[in-house]
Amino acid sequence: MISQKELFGMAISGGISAVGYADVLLNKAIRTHGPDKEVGYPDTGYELPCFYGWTTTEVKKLGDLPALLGQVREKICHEPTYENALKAGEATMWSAEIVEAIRYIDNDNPYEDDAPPGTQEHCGFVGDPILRTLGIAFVDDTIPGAIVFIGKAKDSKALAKIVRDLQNKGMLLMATFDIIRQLEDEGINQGTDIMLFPLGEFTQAIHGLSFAIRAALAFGGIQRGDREGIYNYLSKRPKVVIIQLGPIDQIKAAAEFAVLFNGSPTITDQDVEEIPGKYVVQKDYEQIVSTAIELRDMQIKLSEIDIPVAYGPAFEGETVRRPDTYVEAGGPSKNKVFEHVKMRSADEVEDGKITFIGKDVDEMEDGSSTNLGILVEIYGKKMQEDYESVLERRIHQFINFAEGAWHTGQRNLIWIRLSKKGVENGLRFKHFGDILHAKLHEDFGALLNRIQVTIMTDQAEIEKHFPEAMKSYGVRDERVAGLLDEKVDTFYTCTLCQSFAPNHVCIISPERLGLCGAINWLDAKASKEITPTGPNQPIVKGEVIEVEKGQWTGVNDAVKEHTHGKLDVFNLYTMMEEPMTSCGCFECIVGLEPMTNGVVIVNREHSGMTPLGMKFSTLAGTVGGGGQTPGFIGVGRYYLVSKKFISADGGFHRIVWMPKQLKEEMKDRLNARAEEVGTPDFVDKIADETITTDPAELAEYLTKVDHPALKLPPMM
Amino acid sequence: MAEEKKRSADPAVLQLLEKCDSCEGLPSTMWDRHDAMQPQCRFGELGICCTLCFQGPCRINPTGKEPQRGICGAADYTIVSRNLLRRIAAGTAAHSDHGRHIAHTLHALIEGKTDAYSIKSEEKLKSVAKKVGISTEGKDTMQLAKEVVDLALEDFSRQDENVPLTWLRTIVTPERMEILTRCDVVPYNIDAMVTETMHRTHIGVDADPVPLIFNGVKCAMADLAGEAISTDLSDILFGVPKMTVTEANLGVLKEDQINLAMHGHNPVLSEVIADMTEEMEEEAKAAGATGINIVGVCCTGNELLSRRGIPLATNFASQEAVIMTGAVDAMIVDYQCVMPSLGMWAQCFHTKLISTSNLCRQQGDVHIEFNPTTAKQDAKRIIRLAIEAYKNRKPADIEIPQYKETIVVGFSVEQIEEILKKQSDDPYQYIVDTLKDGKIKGFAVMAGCNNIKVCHDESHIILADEFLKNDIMILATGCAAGALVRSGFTSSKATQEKAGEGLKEFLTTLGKGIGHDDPLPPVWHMGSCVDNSRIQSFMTTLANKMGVDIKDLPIVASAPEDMSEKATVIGTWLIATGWPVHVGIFPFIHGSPLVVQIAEHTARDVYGGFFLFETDPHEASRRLINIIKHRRWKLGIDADPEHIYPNGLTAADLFEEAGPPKADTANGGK
Repeated sequence: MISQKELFGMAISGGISAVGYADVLLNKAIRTHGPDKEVGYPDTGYELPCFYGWTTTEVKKLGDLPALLGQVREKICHEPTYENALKAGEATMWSAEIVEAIRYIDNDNPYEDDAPPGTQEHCGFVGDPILRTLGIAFVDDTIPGAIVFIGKAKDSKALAKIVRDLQNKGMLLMATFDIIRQLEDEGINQGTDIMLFPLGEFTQAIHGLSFAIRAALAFGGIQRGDREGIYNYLSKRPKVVIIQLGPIDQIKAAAEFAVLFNGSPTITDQDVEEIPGKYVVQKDYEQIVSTAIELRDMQIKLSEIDIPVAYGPAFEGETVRRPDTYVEAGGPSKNKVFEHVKMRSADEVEDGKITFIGKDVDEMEDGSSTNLGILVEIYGKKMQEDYESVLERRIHQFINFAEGAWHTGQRNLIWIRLSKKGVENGLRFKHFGDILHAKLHEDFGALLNRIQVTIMTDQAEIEKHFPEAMKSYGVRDERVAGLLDEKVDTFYTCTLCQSFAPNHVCIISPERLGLCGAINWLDAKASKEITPTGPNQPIVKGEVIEVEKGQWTGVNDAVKEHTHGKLDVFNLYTMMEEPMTSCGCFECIVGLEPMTNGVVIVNREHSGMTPLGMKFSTLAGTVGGGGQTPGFIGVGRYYLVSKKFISADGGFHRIVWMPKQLKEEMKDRLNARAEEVGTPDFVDKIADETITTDPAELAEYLTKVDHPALKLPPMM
Repeated sequence: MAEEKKRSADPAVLQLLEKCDSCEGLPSTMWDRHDAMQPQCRFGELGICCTLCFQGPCRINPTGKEPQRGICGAADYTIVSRNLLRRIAAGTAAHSDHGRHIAHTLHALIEGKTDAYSIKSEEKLKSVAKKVGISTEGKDTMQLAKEVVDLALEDFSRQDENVPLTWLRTIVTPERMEILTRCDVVPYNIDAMVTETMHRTHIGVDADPVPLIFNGVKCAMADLAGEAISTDLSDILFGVPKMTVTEANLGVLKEDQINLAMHGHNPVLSEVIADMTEEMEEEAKAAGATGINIVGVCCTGNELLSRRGIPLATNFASQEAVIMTGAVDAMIVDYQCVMPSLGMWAQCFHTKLISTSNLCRQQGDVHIEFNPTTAKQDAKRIIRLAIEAYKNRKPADIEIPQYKETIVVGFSVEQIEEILKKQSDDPYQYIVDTLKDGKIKGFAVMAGCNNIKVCHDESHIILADEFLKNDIMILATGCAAGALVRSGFTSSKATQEKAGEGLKEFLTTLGKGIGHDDPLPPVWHMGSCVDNSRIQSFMTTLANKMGVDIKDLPIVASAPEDMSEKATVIGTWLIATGWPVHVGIFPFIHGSPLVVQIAEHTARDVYGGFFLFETDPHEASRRLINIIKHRRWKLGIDADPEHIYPNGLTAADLFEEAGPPKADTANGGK
C-alpha cells in the first residue's frame, strides 16, 4: 500500500527528476542550436501549449525557456504534502513540455519510427485541427470526456472491453506506454482520426494535457497565462480522467499530479491510499468506466446499439481505404443508390420494422460493389415535411459512427463502404436499419413516434422507390431556394458551444449556417421542436438597424443576453464591423488580405501557409474564444456560397485565395454561385497554395487574371 | 553470521577452504574476514555517508527522521549520487587506463622501441581502421597501426568538446547516438570525463541529482569507449580470439611443473610471459620440473584463455585458494581485483607474489616493474623467480584439488560471425530469423565479479541454468564467465544437458556448420571484463540489422555478484545503451528513493535500459526471462498471455486476485 505521504514523496521525487532532466536537455539544446532557435509544435497556434496556458511569458525561442524552468524549479519543496506534490506536478508539466519541444526542433514528426517496425506507431503531439474537428462533438456532449491511459493493464482483454465501452459512450481516448501495444494486440485501431491517440511513452503523455489546455484556450476564450481561468475551466471541462494501470513510479506520479494541478483526477488499479475525488482506487476493471463517469459527473448521450461492431463518434473520422474495402455502394462504382427519409401517415409506419430486401454482404464477394437503397419512413405528431432533410442529413453521421462503415455524399449520390474487418466482425447492411431506428429515436424522439427502415440491394426494389426519392429532393430544393433571410421573421440562436465557449453565440439565419457547419436554420428549427429550452432559441428579428450589414434590434438583444452582456451589437453580413464571434470549432477562417483588397479562406484541414503569413492554427488562435476580431471571422464552409456571404463587404467576389483541396471539394457549389453572380470563370481566378502563398505574388496573380476583387472599393 | 552458509559452489575451492580450516597459523580467508566484518555499516551500504569533506563524515537518517541534510545541506540524493559518480569515475579510470597502456604498448612497437610484440592480426587492424573511418589503401601495416593508435590516443587527449569519442560513436546505433547526444552524455575525452566527474562531485559543486547522474552516464560512455579501445588494440597486438578447447579450474595446476598463476587484467605482460616460457623451459627442467605451466586467474586469466587457450585456474573470489594449493610457484599480478591478502598468503607458502605494475604494489611482493621496452627481459626475470621458488616447494603443503572441466572458449565477434556465415551469407539476419522463429528467445549477458556476500559462483550457476532451460543463449565475460567455465557450462555436454530444445537445435546446427558432430556450447565465453565491448558491438550490429535499437532487443544482462567499481560503470553504460541489467548485490544507492527510482524506472523512460535489483537468483532469473518475453512482445514477435510489466513482474505477481502478491524486493533494501 502506497500511503498518501509516499505518493506525495514520489511525485516530488519525480518533479525533481523531471526538472533536472529538462534542465540537462535544454542546456544541451541551447549549446547546440543557440538561444535564438525557434521552438514550437507543428499545427498549433498556442506555441508550447502548457506554457501558453499557464504563463503570460511568450515562448518562441529556446532562450525563453531557462528562466521559465527556473520558475518551477524554485518552487519545489521536499516536505511530502499535497500542496508540494501539486507544485512538483506543475514543474513536471513544464519540464515534459520542454523535453518534448526539444524533440520537435527541426523535426515535425519525431515519433515516426519510435515503435519497432510493424507495431503501432506513436503520434506524439496532436495538432489543433484535430482539436477543432472534435470541438462540436465535445461541446454537445457527444464526447462526454477524455480518458488518458497510463501504464499497462493486468489483462488486455479486460482493457479492450473498457476501451470498447468508452468508445461506445463516445469518449476521446489517449493511450501511452505498453497500453498502446495491448490495444494493438486486441485489434483496436488507434490514430488521431479515430479519437484514440497513441501518444507514446514517457514525456509524450504531456500531449494529452496539452490537448485539454488548448481546448480551454480555443473554445473557452481563456487568455494566455490566466492561471485561475484555466484551472477553473479545466476543472469543469473537458472532463479528463487519468487511468493509471500497473505499477506507479515517480515520473508517473508526478505526471498525475501535473494533471491534478490542471483540475483532473486519476483512477488507479494499484494499492494507494486514496485522495477522495482526486486519486481514486478502482481495482475492478468492470467498474473502471462507471467510476470515471461518476468521478467527473459525465453526461453520456449515446445509448448502446446492438450491432456486432463498436459504435460511437470515434469512428466518424475513420476512412475505409480501397484495399480494406469488402464491399462498396455508389461512388465510382456507379451503382444505383439513394437514401431517403419520408414522412408518412401513422398507419403507414410500423415502429421498429426493419426490412432487408436483396442480398446482404455475406452473400457478396470480397471486393464487389452493389446497389443500395435506404428508405426511412417516419411518423410523428410534431413532424413537419421541412424536417425530412434535417433527419436525412444525419444518416451520414449515424452510419459513420459504426466501426468499419464509411459514408459520404447524400441523396442519390451517396457512397458507402464496409471494411473487410467490419464484415468479418459481422457488420451487415441490415444493421443500418438498427442504427437508424435507434439513433433517430434517440436524437429526434420528441418529433418522431414511429420509424421503419427498409434497406435494399435488390435492383427492382430500388427502382420502385427511386422516383419518389427524386421527387422529394426536387421539392426540397425548391423550398430551400425560397428560404431567404428576408422572407423569415425568425432567426435562431445556437449556444450549443456555451459549455465550452461561455461567451459565444451563433446567430443562424436561413442564409448563414452555424460556423461549425453542423447546424443550419432548419436544423435549429427542428432542434427547438425537440428540445424547447435547448441551445437553439428563436429570435424575432425585430426592427432593422442596418440593412446592408445585417443588424436587427431583436438580434442585438439576443446577442446581449447570450454573451452575458459582453457584446451588444452584431452584424450578420460584414466581417469588418462588429462581426459574429467564434467559439473555436469553425470549419473555415475568412481573413482580410489588405494588399489585394480581398479575403483569404482557409479550412481547418489545411496545414500549410496562407498569404496572411499565418497558418490555420495560428489564425484560429486569434479568432476563437468568443471575441470579435474585425477582419477575421470563423464560418461554416457552405456560408461561402451563400448570397449573404460578407455581402456588406462585397461578397463572393472578395475571395482571392483558398486551399486547392477545399476548392476541389466545393467545386460544384462554387461554380454554381459564380454562375449566379455572372462570372462563370471566377473560380479559376481564385488563387491557391500551388500558385502562391506570398501576398505580393498573390497581388500579381490577381492582376494577371483580372480578379474582380481588384475593382471593388477598399474594405477598410 | 550465526548460521553456517555455503561458502562456494566450487568443490575445488571448498576442498581447499576445508583444508585451511584444519590448519593452524594460516591467515584469514576472505570468508573469515567477511564474517568478522558483520554487521557492515548500514549508512555505507545505503550510500548516505558522505566523507567528501572534513566537516563530515555526515550521514542521512534513512528512517526519515533528522538529520535529513548533511552539514553543507546535501540531501540524500546528492550524497548518494556523488558517491555513485565517484565509483563510476574510478571504474572508468581503471578500464581506460588499461586501454591506454595497450595503446602505449602498440605505440612502442610502432616506434621500434620493443621487440617483444608484433601485429598479430592485420585483419583486425584493417577492420578497426575501417570502423573508425581510416582509409587502408596504400598503407603498410605499421603506418596503418600508427594512424589507428593515434586516433585511439586522441580519445584520451581531445580538447574540442563538440567532437564525440571515436570509439563510442562507432559502437552504438545511430538512434542511440541521437539519444545520447540529446541527453548531453557524449564525451569528447576519456580522461577529461574522469576529471570532470571528480570535479563535479567535489564539495560545493553539483548537488542536483539528475545532472549528477547524467554526468555519471557520460563518464560511463567514456568507459565504454575505453573498453572498446582495450579490446580492439589487444586483438591487433595479440590476435583475435578463436574457438579453442582447453580446461578450467584448479585441477589445471600441475604438480610436476613450474606453475605460474597470472592474475589481474592487462594482457600486455602475460602475453610476453607466455611467449617466453619455451625459452625458459630448459632452466625449468634444470630445476627439476618437467616444464612450465601457466594458468590464469581473474581477467588476465580470461585474456589468456580466449587468445591462447591457456587454462583458467579460478576467478576473483578464490584467488587466495590458488596459493593455498601450495603448488603455485609464482603469482604474477598486473592490476585490478588483486586482493591485498595475497601477500599474507604467499608468506605462508613458498609462492612468490610478483607485482609488475607500479600502479599495483602489494605488501609482501617482489616488484619487477614491467616495461614494454624491456618486456622480454622482464618476463625472463619473472619466470626465473618462479623457477627459484619451485626449489623451495614443500611437498606436504601441496594439495591440488582434482577438479577441472573441458571447455570450449574463444567466442570473439569475428569467431561468431565466421560460425554464422556457414549458415547464411547474412549472419546477423540469421540471428534475427532465429530470434523471430523462437528457436532462441533472446540473449543473456552474464558478466561481473564475485561478491563474498553471497555463495561464491552459485548465483551465476542458478541464473545460467534457468536461461538455458528457457532457450536463452548466454554470452559471458569476466569473472561470471570464469564461474561458468569452471561449472561445466561451456561444453557440448552442457548444451545436451541444460539447453532447451530450440537452443539445442540452434547450437547443433551451428556445430554441424563448422564440421562438428556435437553442438556448440550454450555459453559463449567472450573474454575479460573489458571485452564487454565485444558484446556491445555484436548487439549494435544485430539491432541495426533488425532496424531497432538495443533498447528493443530481447536481451538482458546480469551481474549477480557485482563487486567492483568497474562493474558499476559497465552497468551504467549498459543501461544508457538500452539494456535491462540485473545486479544481485545492492550498489550503495538505496538510501535515496529518488536515485533508486531513476535506476529502476526513469532510466528506462530515458534510455530504455534499467536496473533490476534482486538478491535471489531464482527470482532474478524469472524476472529477466520475463523481461525478454516482454521485449519480444513489444517487438511484435510473441503474444503476452502473462501480462508482463517492463520490470519483469507479471499481473499475477502484482494483483491479489490472480495470486499471492510478491513484494518488489528491490524497494526498501534487503
